[in-house]
Amino acid sequence: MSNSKKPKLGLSLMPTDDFRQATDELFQSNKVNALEWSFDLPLNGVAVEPWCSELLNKYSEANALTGHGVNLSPLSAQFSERQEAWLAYTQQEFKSRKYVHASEHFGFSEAGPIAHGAPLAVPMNAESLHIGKEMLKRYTDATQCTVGLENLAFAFGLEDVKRQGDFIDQLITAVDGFLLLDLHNIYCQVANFGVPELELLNSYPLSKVRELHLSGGSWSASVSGSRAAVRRDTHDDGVPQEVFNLAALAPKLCPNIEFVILERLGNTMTDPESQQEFREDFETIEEILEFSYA
Amino acid sequence: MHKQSLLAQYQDALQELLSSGLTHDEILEALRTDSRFKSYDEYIKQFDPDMVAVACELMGKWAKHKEI
Repeated sequence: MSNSKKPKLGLSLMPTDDFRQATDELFQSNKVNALEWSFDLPLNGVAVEPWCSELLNKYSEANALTGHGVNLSPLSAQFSERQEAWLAYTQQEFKSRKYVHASEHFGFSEAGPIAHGAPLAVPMNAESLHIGKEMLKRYTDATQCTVGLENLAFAFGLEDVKRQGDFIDQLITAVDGFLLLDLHNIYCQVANFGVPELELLNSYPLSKVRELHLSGGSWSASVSGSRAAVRRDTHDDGVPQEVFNLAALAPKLCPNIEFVILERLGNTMTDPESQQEFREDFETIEEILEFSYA
Repeated sequence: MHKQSLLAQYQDALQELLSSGLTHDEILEALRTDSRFKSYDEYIKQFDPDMVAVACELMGKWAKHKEI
């Protein structure tokens, strides 16, 4: 059992009707103790409707709003004008609303013809380390709060899986930052590379975990035929049992968790059944936390 | 003209290849035979074809191209 204080359980806000329908009951019953916001969504043209702004302001005032950037691309080798503009936007956003902390995804997406996209793994060498540390310092300057990195689901190969924990530790140590431990991402790597889950978890700086993410995903065909299927972090389905099991394990290993956030992409739960499934996932996590921190 | 670092050249080439429409085998071959990335040989050698295929899919779904 953990002797730590029970973390706040929250949701990743999606500015979509299905999210609103699925979560209204949870918000009304005051079960949602924290809110995570991918504050850079408006940079991609996403409209923030008044009901979203009201929630953001409410959780900000309650000191329960966390920021989760998507498009910084912290390990891109070249610092771009787009990243500079992203940081300027972020600075304004963090001045206008109070966030507890700010996170981003490990990896890079901006390079060559691509402005931004899904983060990909980098060679974990001295150059990547230097670039990542510099970018985290810029992120800290822009947000004026503690920043962290989320472990990546994607890996080009086993080396990416085995070395990511230590490399993230070196990056976040440079800014006294934190690890956002995404349990579905851990599950993806366990499923895809056959690494024992405890061995993989222990390769991360678990004392620096301030936040957990839980989500679902999907399976893709294996083009090589070397595995039955490839687990993908698509955020478009319910949380699998394996991820709930990791959530039950995490409090024993991570003594400093402050937030636990359930994620699901907008427009992936348009029918009542999947909205009910989302609420049930939330309640299952609630029960796991009750038990773990009793 | 400013000379790009090896990492920058590698990231540019990788994103170019992943968004090119080439197959995962062709992408792997291109990376493995590009003499610029000789010092990344060991790293690239462990690339899993399934994961390169996933990276191509991710590119198709989420990548936003730079405006020319």
